[in-house]
Amino acid sequence: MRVMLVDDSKTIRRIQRSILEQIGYTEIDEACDGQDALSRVVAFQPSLILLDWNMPNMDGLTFLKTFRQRDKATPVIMVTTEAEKTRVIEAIRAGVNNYVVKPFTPDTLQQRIKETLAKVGAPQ
Amino acid sequence: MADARAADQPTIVIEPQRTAARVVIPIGADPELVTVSMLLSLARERGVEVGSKGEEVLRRLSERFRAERAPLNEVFAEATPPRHGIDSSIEWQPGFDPSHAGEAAGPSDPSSGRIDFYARTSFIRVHREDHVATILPATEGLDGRDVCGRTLAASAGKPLTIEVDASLARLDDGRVIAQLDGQLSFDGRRIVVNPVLDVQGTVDFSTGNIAFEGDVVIRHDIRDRFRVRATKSVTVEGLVDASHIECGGDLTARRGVAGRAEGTIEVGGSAHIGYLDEVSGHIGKDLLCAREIMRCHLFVGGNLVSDLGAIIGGCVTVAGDVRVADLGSGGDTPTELRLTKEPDIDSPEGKAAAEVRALHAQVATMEKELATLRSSATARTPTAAERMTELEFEIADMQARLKALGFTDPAVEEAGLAGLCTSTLTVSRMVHARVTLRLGHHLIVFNDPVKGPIRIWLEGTRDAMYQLGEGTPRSLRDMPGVMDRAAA
Repeated sequence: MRVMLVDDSKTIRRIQRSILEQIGYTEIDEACDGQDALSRVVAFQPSLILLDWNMPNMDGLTFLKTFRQRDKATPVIMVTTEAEKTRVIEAIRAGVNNYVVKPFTPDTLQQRIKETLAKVGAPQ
Repeated sequence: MADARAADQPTIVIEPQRTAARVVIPIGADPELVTVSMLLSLARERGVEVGSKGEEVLRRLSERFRAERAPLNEVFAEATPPRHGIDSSIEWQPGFDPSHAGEAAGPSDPSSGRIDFYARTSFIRVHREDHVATILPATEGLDGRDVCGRTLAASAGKPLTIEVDASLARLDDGRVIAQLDGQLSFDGRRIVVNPVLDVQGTVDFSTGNIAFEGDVVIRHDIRDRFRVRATKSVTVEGLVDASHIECGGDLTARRGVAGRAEGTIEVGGSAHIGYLDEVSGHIGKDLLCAREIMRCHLFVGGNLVSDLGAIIGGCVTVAGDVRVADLGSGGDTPTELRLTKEPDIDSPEGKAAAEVRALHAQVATMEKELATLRSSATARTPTAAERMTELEFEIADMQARLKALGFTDPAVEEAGLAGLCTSTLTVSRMVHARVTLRLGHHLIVFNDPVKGPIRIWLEGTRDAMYQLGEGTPRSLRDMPGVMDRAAA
């Protein structure tokens, strides 16, 4: 199981990685924005992507639209804020599988990951 | 006629100070008589010392006159001026010139152009064996000679009247080497390495932060946000504002420390302080405070003595005995005193305890920030949400680390450490209401004031005991207005 973390906050990436490791995912790659993620996905071939919405250079939604042109299967969890929640529908149309609203706790994130993987029938 | 002939004769002219000699050959001179030997004779008659070079010049001139028949007036001999000696001087090695101390600001950030003026240094720091300067010796000089061969005396260079203190060694080749770590100073006459950094004024932008391997004495104050770090003691004669002091030895701040919730002290030895207000930190040995300890969060590794003072507000943890005039205040300020034996700071338990303390402090700070964000109007902005998530995660991460260390709750930690308590609390005047005392496993809450003198300690049976004046020792559970939760 390979997970890609896409977030401009190093702190959030670090702790997301720690949560993923705690629940048994050890193959993890990190990207600091959409552009960085696009340059890495081909080589890394993730099984799950945790995607922040607001990022410099290329935001999460733009990344998602580009990514979905070439990969429709890999599950993507969008990380959004309450203010952007109304735009979630746009993200779902663009191919997001699940979302989590900031601020969230590690437990919430863990639950969302499990939910998403179960939904797409991926091995957990 | 005789005069006319004399006027047509070559002559030798000597310049003032005998710096040069010239030959003057008028146009009417007889070319047959203008020979080199005749010119040499004339020069020697005038006392001019003619060497081979001068003789060559005269030969050339006589030939030229004979060939050209034109008047000549040429220098044929010059004096050798004296070369005076050079005065002795001191040549500072790069970075050690005391006259340049304080010129350099702290590190700058080229991208933003910002300069850290807090990090500037106003003194020259040297380490043992540093080559700080070279004293160049005076030179003797070289005598000269005038055209008549007389000596032109050269003056010798003046010796340097610099005294090199015993804290430095002056080697035969002139190198000056520091013999100890310290502050280099030079007042124009004496070079000294002082093992004590003596800051004559206030620690502020004129001095920058202080970091010194040795003792530091500050004659005035320490301003907000400045840091003073010393491997040995720190003495502050003025007031300490909301700054950070870290020392391996004792800290003396007779006037006091006004921390305004941002002041911190980390003291390896004992602290002798006028008063402490809103300060947090750690004192390895004893704390002697002349007046109040107000709203502080401190750990004291030894005894706490404030015979005329009080502990008011905050939370003070003491490993040794406590002796104060008042505990709490007449305004019923919530005040917590913990008497606990903490393990040796260098032991694995001590290190774990220190880490636990640091983690708890970080968690508390983050929880405070999180609460502020949650209650603010901007809580729903993406930036605030992002920061809140970061904080949520950081807190969870730290709590996981605390769990890994075996401590999930500060109270559990304290209980474990407090079990080792052998301390005694002595209050000479009054224990005020709303004072909480953690003593071993006991959590003692004073709902009503208790007039002193009172002594409180743990009996061998682990009962919390008290004694009023010279009265009979009794169990605290029998004292009205006091709740002993462990006893309950």
